[in-house]
Amino acid sequence: MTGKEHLLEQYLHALDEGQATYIEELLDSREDERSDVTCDVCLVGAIRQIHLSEHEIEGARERVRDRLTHAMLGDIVIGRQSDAPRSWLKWWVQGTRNWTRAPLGRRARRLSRPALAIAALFILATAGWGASLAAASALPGSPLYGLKRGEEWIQLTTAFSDSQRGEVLGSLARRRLAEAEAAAAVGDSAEVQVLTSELDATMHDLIHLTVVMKTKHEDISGVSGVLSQTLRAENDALGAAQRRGEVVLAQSLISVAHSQQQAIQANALSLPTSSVLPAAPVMPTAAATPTGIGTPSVGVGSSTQLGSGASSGSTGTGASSSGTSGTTATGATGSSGSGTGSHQRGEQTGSCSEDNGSTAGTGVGMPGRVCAPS
Amino acid sequence: MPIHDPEAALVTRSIQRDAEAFGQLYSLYFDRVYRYVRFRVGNATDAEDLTGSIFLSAWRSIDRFSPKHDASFAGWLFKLAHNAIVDRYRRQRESVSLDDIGASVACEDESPGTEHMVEWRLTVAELHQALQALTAEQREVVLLRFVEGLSAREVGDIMGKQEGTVRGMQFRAIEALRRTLSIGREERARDR
Repeated sequence: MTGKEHLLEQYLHALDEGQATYIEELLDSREDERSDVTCDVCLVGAIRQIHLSEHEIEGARERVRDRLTHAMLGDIVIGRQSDAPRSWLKWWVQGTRNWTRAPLGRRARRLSRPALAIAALFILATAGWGASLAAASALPGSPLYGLKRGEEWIQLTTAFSDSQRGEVLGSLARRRLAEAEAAAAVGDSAEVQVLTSELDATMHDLIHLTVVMKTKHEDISGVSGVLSQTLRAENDALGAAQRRGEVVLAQSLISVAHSQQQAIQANALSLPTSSVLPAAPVMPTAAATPTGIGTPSVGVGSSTQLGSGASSGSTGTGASSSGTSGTTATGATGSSGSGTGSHQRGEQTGSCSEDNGSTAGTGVGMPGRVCAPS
Repeated sequence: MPIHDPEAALVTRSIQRDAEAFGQLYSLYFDRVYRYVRFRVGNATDAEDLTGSIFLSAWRSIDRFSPKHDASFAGWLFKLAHNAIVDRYRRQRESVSLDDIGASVACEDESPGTEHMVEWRLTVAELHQALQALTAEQREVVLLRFVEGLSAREVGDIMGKQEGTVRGMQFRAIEALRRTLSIGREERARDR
């Protein structure tokens, strides 16, 4: 290696080590060869600065990612991945993006590989409108459910803008809600909890997306409309669950409503006026003795406070809270009859005490506060 | 070039089929791999196709990556890229010499910052043009060694050459580039 080559090699090594100032010192110390080597050194420096336009790179990154996700789905179909679909969706939403978690990842993992493979194959092979239509109403356990989830995944991965992604997330959240209601109707408590958990994750993605869009000064009217619409759907479902006495679903929805409410408040999101929620349907009460079992308002930035709950000696569950404070009043008292009462926080009088949710009689209550009438 | 710890963790998780970790590796390396491929194949469409197949191939075969035997994850990934490019041209264009690869590189980036370079004040277009005067191997050395910042050993692993051979090639490539660029400048100066 000649002296010049040696010097260039030293320069390259310094570049690799990030010692930019070292280069000048190096050249100063080799005055005799400086002009010749400087030329090469600067040429290498110029080459190292070459780059393509951000626009081109950014577009390519998005397009290649979309193709990759589809290819990975193909891998699952043909069984190339021995442990697929462990986290193929998570890969898409978490690994390559910063803003969202994987609303479907948990479900994807729960699906059996053959079921998902068949479903995905079905998608790839037919991509037919009829199949999609049939799958849209599929419930967990149905052969078409995998197709439904695969289709959702494609919708999510092919959303071309944040607004559209928001619409997809809202749609997915409402689907999970409908599925949770269906599971509750057949008494599948475990499925209800899984589905409401997925609902919650999807809603948090939607909230987070709204926050990100707001930060980027994008128009959030559409996505916040979707958010408030979905919150209302949750509230309606909660009222219906209470009317039907679906305790697990009601408890789960109360829990997710609290969680979402906190996220919305923490991010100071204000939703359109349509997010001022209607009161949950009031269940017929039998000789109502208000025991303060209600539901939290899932409204945000709204003073509307909703409540519905068991009362008058029933087996009931619920939580009463204000739409903003999140205070929960829960419990069930009494020993006979059934019924659900509603109250608004402002109307409630009486004393409250901490309760573990299991009080006198046959009541089944959630941990919280039991409020007795004065 | 040693693997930095966070990257090593991502690689380890990816080997265990953690798709999220692989997604993060994708985010870390996409730009570099795409740029390399783009300079080699010359157009964006082919570069996207190839880059996608390189990452898919990496996902499928990442369990074959060995921190002990491979110089670095970057080197391993670029080796996949190198092989993908060679395979592509071997399959599709048997009659075309590898020296022709990249002859159609488009020079789209004339944005501020890229056209004014230290001392040489190179435009990207000039450099592109000068790169075409190199042999395919020299061009690859220049891209991997100088544009992507891989070590001579890593480049050697990728190209199946000794480290010393790579060093020799890089010096010859630099000389050739300097000659080409100087001639180009003199010609332009005369034209003015």
